[in-house]
Amino acid sequence: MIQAAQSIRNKGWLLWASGLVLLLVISPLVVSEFWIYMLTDIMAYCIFALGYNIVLGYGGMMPFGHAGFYGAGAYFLALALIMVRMPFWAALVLAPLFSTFLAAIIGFFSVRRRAFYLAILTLAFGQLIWSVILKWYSLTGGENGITGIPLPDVISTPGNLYFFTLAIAGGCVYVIYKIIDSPFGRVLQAMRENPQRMEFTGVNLDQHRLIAFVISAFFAGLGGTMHAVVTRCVFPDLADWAKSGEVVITCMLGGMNTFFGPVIGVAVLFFMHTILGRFTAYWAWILGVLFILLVLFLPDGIMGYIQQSRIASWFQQRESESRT
Amino acid sequence: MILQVKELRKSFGDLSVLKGVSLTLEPKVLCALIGPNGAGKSTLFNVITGLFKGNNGKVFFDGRDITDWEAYRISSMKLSRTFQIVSIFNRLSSFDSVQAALISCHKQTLDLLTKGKGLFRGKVLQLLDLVGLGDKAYWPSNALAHGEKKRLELAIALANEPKMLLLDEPTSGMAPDETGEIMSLIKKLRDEMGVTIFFVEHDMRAVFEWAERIIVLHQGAVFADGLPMEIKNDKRVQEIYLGSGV
Amino acid sequence: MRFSILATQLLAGLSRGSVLFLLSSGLSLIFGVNKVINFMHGSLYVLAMYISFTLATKMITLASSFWLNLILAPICVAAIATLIEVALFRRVYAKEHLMQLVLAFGLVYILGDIMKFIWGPIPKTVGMPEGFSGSFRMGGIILPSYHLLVITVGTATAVGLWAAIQRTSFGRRTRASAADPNMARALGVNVSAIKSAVFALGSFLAGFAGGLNLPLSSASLGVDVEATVLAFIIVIIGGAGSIAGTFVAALIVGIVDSFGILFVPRFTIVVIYFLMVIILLVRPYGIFGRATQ
Repeated sequence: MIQAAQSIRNKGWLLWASGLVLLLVISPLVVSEFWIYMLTDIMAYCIFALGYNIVLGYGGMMPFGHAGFYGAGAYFLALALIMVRMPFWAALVLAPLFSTFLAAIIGFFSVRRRAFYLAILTLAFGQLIWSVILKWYSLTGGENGITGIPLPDVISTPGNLYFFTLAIAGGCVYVIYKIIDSPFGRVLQAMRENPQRMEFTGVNLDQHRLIAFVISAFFAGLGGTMHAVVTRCVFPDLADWAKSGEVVITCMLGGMNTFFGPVIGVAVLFFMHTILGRFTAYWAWILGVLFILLVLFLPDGIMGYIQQSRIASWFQQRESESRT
Repeated sequence: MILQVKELRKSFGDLSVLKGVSLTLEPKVLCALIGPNGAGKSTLFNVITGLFKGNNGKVFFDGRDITDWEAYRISSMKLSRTFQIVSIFNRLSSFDSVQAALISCHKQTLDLLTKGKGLFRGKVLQLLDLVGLGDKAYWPSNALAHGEKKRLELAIALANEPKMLLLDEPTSGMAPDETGEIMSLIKKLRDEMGVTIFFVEHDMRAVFEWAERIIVLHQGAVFADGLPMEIKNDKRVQEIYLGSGV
Repeated sequence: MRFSILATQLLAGLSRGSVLFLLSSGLSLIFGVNKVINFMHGSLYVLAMYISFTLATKMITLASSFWLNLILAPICVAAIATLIEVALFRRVYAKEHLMQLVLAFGLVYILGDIMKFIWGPIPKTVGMPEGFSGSFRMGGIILPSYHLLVITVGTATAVGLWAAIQRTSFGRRTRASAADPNMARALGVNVSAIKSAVFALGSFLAGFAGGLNLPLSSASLGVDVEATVLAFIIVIIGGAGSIAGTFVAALIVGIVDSFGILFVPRFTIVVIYFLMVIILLVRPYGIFGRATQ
């Protein structure tokens, strides 16, 4: 990740970014309600994915239970609004904080573990959260989930909900970018590359890993909360291992070594799921083949591949320059 | 004296590697640590810098007893090191690598708000210039040549403005002219920044050309200690090397 | 709570534990020797159940057909697994765990759809095999014969596996390949072949577990990854690479599951995951494991 490699960065990225923002802003005016709904849901999930990539791509850790935080945020919102009749805006703020609280506890025990053992321990915690949601029937309704989440009138229309989500997602993109670019973010990346070297310069590795873990859990919780807002319902599968695995694959598919890679991954998966799902009940295998091709031929993900080819051509250019 | 090691012992299970090492180093000296393979040179460095805990004995640095200190604490005392196998941040650029080290040394690692891109820019470029990597500041580290990576590691180690540098085989894998460049750079660091240099080396030509003092380690203890000429002419030292390289 | 009921539940727990052991031991071998995250292990378990179902309902009812199926289904599964190993897994041995995970996920999706296509979404069941559908009575305690069979088979396999690994030359070569592949290669061990053999053996065990489990439960979709997750956690709790550890861990989980159903029927699964979290916190490398990985 050559964030400061200005000579390599695509000078035209500002153009792309502006174009995308424009597209996002005018979409609700031109596309059907179905697509508005889908784009809104995609944006909510992007919050989850971008937040998770803080630990995966930038932190070099692979916790495997983040869906627990995603689902916890979603269920907190649902229960707060329906059972406690909390004001919407209060619930919106408290739900991700609840996930953050869970993550502080889980992370404290987990981040000290290496790679695979971190994955297994967080998977176990994630499954614990999922099973509690599933089985605490009196509170959560179990398999039936909770439906009919009330929203304030101002965001009840698809268009308004879209822009509301866009604002929140945009805010998250900004905040996550600032975190990655901050001294903390840079140290986190250096820790990923060579933990021992960073330890020698005086860094308490576990402390920093915990902070990254908790931050990513906040965004997971916020993503889940927004998903609940968008779909107005919650089900236990929001917290299960499949969701945890899905976010990992999403980041990898788009390119976990790039900032916007996860967004690309989310978009691709959503579109495939939706479009393929219209034609056949058997679409999972297509995704499966995609994953296999990804691992064998495109391990850097889509954005990663683009970035790597740019770096490669930069080198070729330098080499031909030095020859002349 | 800036470094004092007293009767340091270290065993790994049944294998006793350091068997009572004692030495002192005066500030600003350019001192080489040599010895046959298995003498315990890297282990000595590892214990001094806190990577391993010694079983017995003491280590004093800059007036403090650092014997049981953690590695990161020792480095904050301005004792830095490089490794035998070059230890850098592969996918980061040279700039980002040195910057990360500087952020850490300035204790700004928990800062989540500051814009990091140009942080410490002046200092980073200064350090990179010092080691001769100024024009490759934005190159990915793993694209650098081997010798350049070693220089980058030096720059990273210099981030905390160390009083003493432990260099583990700084010229390994280098051709003769590169060796000269690195060694003259190291001497320059000593001259301009007042850093005490303690380096392990196998390249005897480099050792005798640049070192001002040589300590010979053999079978876990200091075997000889003195000026290069003395060591060069010491028959016992020649013997333990069995005629190789001296 | 009457002692007889507890005893019967204990037996059921041991039986379930034995099945879990067979499943997990396969994964333990694959994880320990091939050092790969085989997330499709559970899919093979379910596939074997489906194949067993088809064999049981389509084959003419011979007296020994149950026993034949018990071997045939795992053999099919092991063959498929070997194909997958040679074609795909071999390419990711050297890659990061993340890549192996994604590859395995892809295979889970593919296998899942294949199973859905061939057998449909409705769970499939078979009856108990002849001669084992009854139960013994011992001092007022009911001991279903099939449970006894499963426990016997499971224990015998455990002992057999342990003996094979410790005493045979194949076992020696396997342990060498797991401990230090480069050294093993230098000493003349064909590490690639060992890895393929272990993969096949591990998958055979998963299939064997499935076939044995079918009369006790049913073949249905969605069990595949549940089984994989459970197996991984059991492997870690028991200590990766330790047959004894896996055996103990599997039995513990089986018994907790069984008594959980008795005392807190709705929350059994919560109890199991809670227990797993506690064990993983207290003994991160497992009950018998060491920090070797």
